[in-house]
Amino acid sequence: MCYYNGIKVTKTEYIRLKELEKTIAFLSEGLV
Amino acid sequence: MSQSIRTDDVFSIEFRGKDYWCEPLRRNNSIFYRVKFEKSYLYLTQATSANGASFWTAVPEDPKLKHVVQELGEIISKHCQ
Repeated sequence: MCYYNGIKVTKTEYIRLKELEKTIAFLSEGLV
Repeated sequence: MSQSIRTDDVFSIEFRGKDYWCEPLRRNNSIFYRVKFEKSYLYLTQATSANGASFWTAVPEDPKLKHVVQELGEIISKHCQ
């Protein structure tokens, strides 16, 4: 089990949110 | 890294007496929102907790923004109904 923003989430959900973080990092750098 | 991000129509929301642009974005099956503040963007999305409850979160996570994100999320939810 994992936590995101202090809330317990499933591993699948955690991975999804972490993938979103990568996407947003790319957006922020203007690479997408 | 190949990304597929589609943008739907931008809309305006009122938050604490001011108007802000909110842009829905998609990455594969995930929908998230970019809210434009004066000098920065705030990204937020709706997630599901381990016990099945839906909650709004900033992405990347930021505990300091919890209440702001919850409030913004409710406004966005109402707009999208």
